[in-house]
Amino acid sequence: MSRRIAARARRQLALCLEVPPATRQAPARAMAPRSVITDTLWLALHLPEDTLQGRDAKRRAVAADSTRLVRLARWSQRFTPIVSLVPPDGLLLEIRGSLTLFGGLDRLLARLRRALARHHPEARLAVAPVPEAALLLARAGRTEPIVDGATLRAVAGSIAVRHLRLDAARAEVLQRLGIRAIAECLRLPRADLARRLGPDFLHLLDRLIGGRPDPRARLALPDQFEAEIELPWAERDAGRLLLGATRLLELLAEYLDRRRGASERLHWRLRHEGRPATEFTQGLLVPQHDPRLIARLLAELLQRQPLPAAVIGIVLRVDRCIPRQVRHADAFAAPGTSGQSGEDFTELLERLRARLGADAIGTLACRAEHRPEHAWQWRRCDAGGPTADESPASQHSRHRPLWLLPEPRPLSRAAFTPRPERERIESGWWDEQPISRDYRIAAGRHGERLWVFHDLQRPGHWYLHGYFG
Amino acid sequence: MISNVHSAATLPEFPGIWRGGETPAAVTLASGFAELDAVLPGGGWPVGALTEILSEHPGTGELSLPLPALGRLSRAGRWLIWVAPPCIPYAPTLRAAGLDLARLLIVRRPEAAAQASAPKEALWALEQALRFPGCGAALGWLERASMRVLRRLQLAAEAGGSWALLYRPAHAAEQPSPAALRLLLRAGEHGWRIEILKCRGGRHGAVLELPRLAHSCGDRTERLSTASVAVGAQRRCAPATPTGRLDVVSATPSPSFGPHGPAVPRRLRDERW
Repeated sequence: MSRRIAARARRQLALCLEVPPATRQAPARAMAPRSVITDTLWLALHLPEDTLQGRDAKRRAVAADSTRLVRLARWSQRFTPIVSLVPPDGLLLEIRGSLTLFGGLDRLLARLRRALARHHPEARLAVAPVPEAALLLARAGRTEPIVDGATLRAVAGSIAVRHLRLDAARAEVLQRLGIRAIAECLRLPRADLARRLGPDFLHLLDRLIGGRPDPRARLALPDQFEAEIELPWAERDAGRLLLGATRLLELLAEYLDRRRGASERLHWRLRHEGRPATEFTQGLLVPQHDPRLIARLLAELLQRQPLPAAVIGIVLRVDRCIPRQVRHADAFAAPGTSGQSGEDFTELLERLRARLGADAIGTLACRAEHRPEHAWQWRRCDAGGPTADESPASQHSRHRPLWLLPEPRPLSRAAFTPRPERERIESGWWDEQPISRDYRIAAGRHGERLWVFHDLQRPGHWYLHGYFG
Repeated sequence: MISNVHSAATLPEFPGIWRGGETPAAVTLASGFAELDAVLPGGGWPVGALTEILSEHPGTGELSLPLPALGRLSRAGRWLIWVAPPCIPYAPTLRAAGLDLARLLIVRRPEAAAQASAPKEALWALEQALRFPGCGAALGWLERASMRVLRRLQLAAEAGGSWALLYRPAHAAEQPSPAALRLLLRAGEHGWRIEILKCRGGRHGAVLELPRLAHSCGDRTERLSTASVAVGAQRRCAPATPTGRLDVVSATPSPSFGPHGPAVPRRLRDERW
């Protein structure tokens, strides 16, 4: 097991560094001393050009084609992180690392074919242990997957040389020599072949049968997501704007799935006709990747967003992609205490925050402080959710009310009957808010319990500071 | 003529016949006050239903009354969500009363600029809280609430299985309500005077007086050894009980305002704290 992991790590490293992947084990090296066929498996995707009509159309379509290829490459990154472009019409996917995840080569191929059938029915797939051979097989239409070096040599040899895409001069040389199939090239003396067709051709043949390392540039995943949608008509209704935004969120979810990531800040831009766009940022408590959840939160924001004019287009940008947290469910947790409930709670917080604002939601905490108005603390629910109260439990021998007024309120002496016991609080000389008060419990006119104080700094003035609710 | 006449005792065997006064099979939450539990059907606060506490003045035990039950819920890991409390719930006292502050979520009143939509937002937040499955109790302070709104909250409480506790002014007693339990709170002679205005599956009209708790009155000496209970049916002719119970009903001081009006503001100011 550990050896397998180590081998995979080495292979990944080799691919990342774009150095020739070293042979894995000594026996393999002994058996095939010149082979660099390792435990990689390449899938080539070839988009035949015969769908294009004529040369002009071909020239026009080049630009569109390259973006089409990139789009297809991005799409195929859901099957493997290692995808490289072979312009103008090919893609290479390293799929050995994905076989376990997708349940074997057959299933992976079936899935790919099914998915491709919708948008690229003309695409041809081929599988080989080395990239050059996979491409060649795809171009030649040999779609049966090849996984070992011996079969590869036999099958590749039977393919016509024209599929190698040689330039006109070399193709002519080969034609004059009467060579049709690649196998015939392989049988010729290497030195002569190099002299007549150049060393490049020899290298190509070597790469084809795995005799030479063939590093491929990997298509990097974009760091930033940006997508735009044009609305069919100018729209002001929040519900219909949400429909458009949901489409963008689905694209975002695809992007996030590829990167196994989540986002916590979504920048929205609502474009107007002949006016600067309305921009707002959707901040989330914890990174999310579920488009439905984000859409629900967005609905609250959209309803509150003042729109100066009708919207003609929506742009979504996400700058950072945060790796997803793997969550472990607690098998023994009682329902409603943790686990699933914790998830739901974050969602509830998100919804409350989205609608009422981040300032409106919070928890309370105690502080070790004698002044009553400073002995508590408001804590906003920021990232990570509410925090536990870590201040030491103060041993109040004295009574404190359940309700505290935000500000002490002047009170007429006739409005209450105080009890004789007093509690003097003199504190706060160090931070410019000193207090000097005699607190008492009092009964109001209707029997309610009040917490009042006599301000010793202003004798004769009584204030109401709380209720024993 | 059918010979066998069903007596009242055999009637409940028929499906679809429900007798008033019977306790519906409902989940309840012990209030922590034996006297109150004895009066409430099922022996406690109705869970998955709406409870209303009506009081005209703050400081009449409106928060102390549910506090023991709330403390137990929070220590069991359930969330307490308080929507739009009128003043600052004082954290040191709450903790001293056994509330786990880490499980208490406060939704403050919106800022002055958004006062117009404040009741709507508060109702929305309350409904969201009630429908959240991890919520043990949701407390809301409402000035006005229509029957439709109350019905909505009652349904949300049923759906979420949480305890909805609604604070309303005393004059709301005249309004009908779908709440399972409605209590009117006043300050009594020796504690809180609780009048049960409505009690689904129980007897309404009961009046009881509970001694104040230490954290709510600040004086342990006021604790009474026995609570005095007078049932509404006996209101008119409640005789002095031989055990020396205080007959609260006859001794109830009717709420009266001074000639100069209340010096303590009757309604708390709606300010952001």
